Amino acid sequence: MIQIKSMKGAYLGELEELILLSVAVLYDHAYGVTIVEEMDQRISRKISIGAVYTVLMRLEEKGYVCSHEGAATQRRGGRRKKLYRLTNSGEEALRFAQDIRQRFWSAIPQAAFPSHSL
Amino acid sequence: MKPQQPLPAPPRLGVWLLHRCIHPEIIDYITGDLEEVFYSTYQSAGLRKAQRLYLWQVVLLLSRPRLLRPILLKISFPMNQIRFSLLSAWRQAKRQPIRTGVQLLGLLISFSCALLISFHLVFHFSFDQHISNADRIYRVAVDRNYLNGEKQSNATSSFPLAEAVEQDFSSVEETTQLISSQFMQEQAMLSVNGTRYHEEKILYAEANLSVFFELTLLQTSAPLTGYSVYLSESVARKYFSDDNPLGELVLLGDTLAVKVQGVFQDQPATSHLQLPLLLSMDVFDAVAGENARTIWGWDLAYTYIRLHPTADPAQTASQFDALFAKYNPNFSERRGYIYTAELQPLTDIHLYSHRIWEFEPGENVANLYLLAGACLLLLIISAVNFVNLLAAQVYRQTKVIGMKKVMGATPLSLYTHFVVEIGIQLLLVLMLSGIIVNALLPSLSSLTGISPEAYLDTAAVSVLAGAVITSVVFLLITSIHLYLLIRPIKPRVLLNRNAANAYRLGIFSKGLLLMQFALALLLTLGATTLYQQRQLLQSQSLGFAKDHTLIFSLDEVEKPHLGALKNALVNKANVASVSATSSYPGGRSERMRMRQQGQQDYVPVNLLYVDYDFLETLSIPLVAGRNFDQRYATDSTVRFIVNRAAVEAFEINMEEDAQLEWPTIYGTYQCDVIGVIEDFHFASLTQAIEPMVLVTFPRFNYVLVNINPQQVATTLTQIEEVFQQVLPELTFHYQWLDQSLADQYQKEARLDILIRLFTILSIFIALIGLIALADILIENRVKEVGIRKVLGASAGQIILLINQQFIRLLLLAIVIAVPAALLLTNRWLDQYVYRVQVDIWVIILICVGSLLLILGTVSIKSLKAALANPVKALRGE
Repeated sequence: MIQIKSMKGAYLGELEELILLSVAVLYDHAYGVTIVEEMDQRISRKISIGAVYTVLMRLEEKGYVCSHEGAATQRRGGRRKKLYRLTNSGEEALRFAQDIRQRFWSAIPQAAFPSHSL
Repeated sequence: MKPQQPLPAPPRLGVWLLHRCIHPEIIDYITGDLEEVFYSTYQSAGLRKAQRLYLWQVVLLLSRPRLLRPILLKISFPMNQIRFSLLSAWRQAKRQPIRTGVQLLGLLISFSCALLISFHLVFHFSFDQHISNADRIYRVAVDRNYLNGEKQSNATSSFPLAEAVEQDFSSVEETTQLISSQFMQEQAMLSVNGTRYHEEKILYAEANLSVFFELTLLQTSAPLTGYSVYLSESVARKYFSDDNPLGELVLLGDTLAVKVQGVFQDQPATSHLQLPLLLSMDVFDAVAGENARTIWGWDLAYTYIRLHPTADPAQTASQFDALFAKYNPNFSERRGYIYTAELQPLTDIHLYSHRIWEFEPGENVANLYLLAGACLLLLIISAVNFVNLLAAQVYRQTKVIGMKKVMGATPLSLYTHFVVEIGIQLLLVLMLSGIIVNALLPSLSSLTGISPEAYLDTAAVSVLAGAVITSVVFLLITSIHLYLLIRPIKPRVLLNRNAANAYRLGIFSKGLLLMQFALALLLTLGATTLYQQRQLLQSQSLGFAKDHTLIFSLDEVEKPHLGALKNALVNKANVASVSATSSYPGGRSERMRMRQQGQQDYVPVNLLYVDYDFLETLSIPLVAGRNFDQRYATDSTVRFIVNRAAVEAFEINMEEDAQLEWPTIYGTYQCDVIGVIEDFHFASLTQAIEPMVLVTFPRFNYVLVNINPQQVATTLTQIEEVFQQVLPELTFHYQWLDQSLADQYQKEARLDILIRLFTILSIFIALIGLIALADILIENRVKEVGIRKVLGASAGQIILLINQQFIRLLLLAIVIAVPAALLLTNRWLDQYVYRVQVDIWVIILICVGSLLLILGTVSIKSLKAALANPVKALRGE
């Protein structure tokens, strides 16, 4: 498959972060359909299966998720699932992302928020 | 968990696409996921929604390059190639703005013209194609073959023919007939709820006509029998606005009430049968008399037949002679003619049928071919520009190509680079010409009188397909040419300093240029003849005074008041003369047969019913005898005035009295000829003047009013007042005679405009092509010119040196084009009775003109080179 030549460091794109979070939330049931549903239910964001797989493949190349084959059901026309699970570096990346935000949040002065200024 | 009934499968197309395009490593997971989503949507929202969602997901998947098969990426995204071609095309264009501009502008102009004309052509060639059995439907048109060898070709046939055909011919599946009111009266008057409407024509149809011609019935309550009428949608809206017309009454000529029993959709613009309203045949019987429909020899019905799918039309057509012999025994003795029939394919009627009593005037297919031909010439001329300039460009890049070959470029990659570049240019031209066509379509439709919607509805798809196919063919041809140009370029050109850049016109380019010159000349010569012919038609004396004459049409209600109207009008100061007639010049006349007493053969003549003031009103001069005179009592019925053509046809001796026999259904009249008038053009100038007989019998449809040229506006108001006094119910409506005549030549006029436009454009394209080519040639010879000047050549000699090859080509083109033009224009002129002779001086003038034009054009560029300081040219090294 196509090789990614440069890694963007540990930084996550917005969609990458959301999908990574979904994978974490779903734990043992994270695959295309459930991730799409999770995104729809939790944050009302409609994304296509194609988009999910594109992002998951990128995340797998970066080493943030790992995949294994799941069970086949008749509902899927007897086809197997590709289940994803968070890796250690995936967890790190998520924590890092949260940490960066936290750093910024704690640095915002109270007066900067218009609703608190008066 | 799931019901046991079989589940529907996901859309097959989507599954197929996925398996072809998605990377095999993940195809299983993705199709599995999609299927899961498909079934859950199916259970919650139904099959439709599920299928739509599935296909949408497939589309989204295919737009993600990362998920596709790697092989697809290589084929479908040669982005680098395209990007490079675009960049290189842009750089070339910037470096040589003249060449690129000329190449594209010429193509753009001719493409736009061709697209516009294609709309017109496709429209006319798609007449009556919308009927599903069109290939099996024929119109039976009859010829009357008179014993003296004359032939009258009617679009119509006798009414009993349909029944006879149905009984005797096993090959005929169904027949239907249609009668137009125009044969009996000039216009029909209908009244609805007290409002009067004048219809140019109304139609009487058999009940099965709506099924036969697949009319779309919007509303219907009863078949078209009894006293009933079907209205077209537009007429229904005119009469009843938005009310439901079904069951309403329409009065025919104020007396006969018919009931609206149906409304049908307006016929498409590409139907030769434009039907405003259809009355039943029972209404026709009431109007024309019980036995009108039983008479053989009254050709008033359009008869259509549909053959069985297996029937042979030629064989059916051959059976008609026997049929006429069976049903019309002794016809030749009784009537003086026998019938023959022609089966006209339904789809040919509009373009090829030009008989008497056509339902609508059709289009002359010769004019369409002329237009298509002119358009094709324009396309070829611009294509020649494109190809020649392309060749020049390749020569210019010889060193670049050689270098690329040295660096290891394969011939294929070089070749695709050029082809992609041409493809981009073509695409650009196509898109721009689409915009131009979109903007100009309304102008075309105002010229031709066909609405833009009608053009788009009938022709849009075919024109688009045609444009794409033409572009592809064009691309193919230029690619082959290109391949032949690139292949022989060897890397060693890099070592040969002098040969690399020397571009001379190759034999192929010369041939193309020759063809271009010849075609442009051909078009110019043709257009000139066309113009002369039109001038001739316009300037020819009609034989009567057409100016300042008004035409009023009368209906049945107004006719009794004619006398009062005439008297009141004549008393007005500015009214010179008033006359009532059955028709006016350019209108229809009745055709009769008469013979001179004592002679054998009947002669077909045009009969015009006029009153005593007709000759004065139209200023038609008498040659011999006298005008009709109220003082002679017998003048009112049985005295004739004839024209010169009739004198010749009847072989009347002008020195003696002559009598004509006029057989009618009331018996044969013997009529004295009391006067002879000069020939005048009653029919179109495209037709020869036919024998004409004037009689003062009160069957008038029109009033002609000749007024003094001064104070036209006040006179018109006065006339309107008179009309309102005498006929208060009438809506005042008039026409100018000269305008109505000018309308006759509208077809020729608009053809003329288009051809002239094409000629100017083709000359323009050829000339700009020449400028660009001369520019390249001179650029290549800058050093040569410089050396020649240093050695003492004069500016004149230099110009001659550069111009001579073009002049040689032009002379050759003249030799080819002039005879071809003479041949073609003569063939075209054959359709006119009054035609111009092609003048040798005009040809010489055009040839000399083109010579000067080419010299002038090339000299724009060569003069600059000739006058330049040779030091500049030679300084480079």
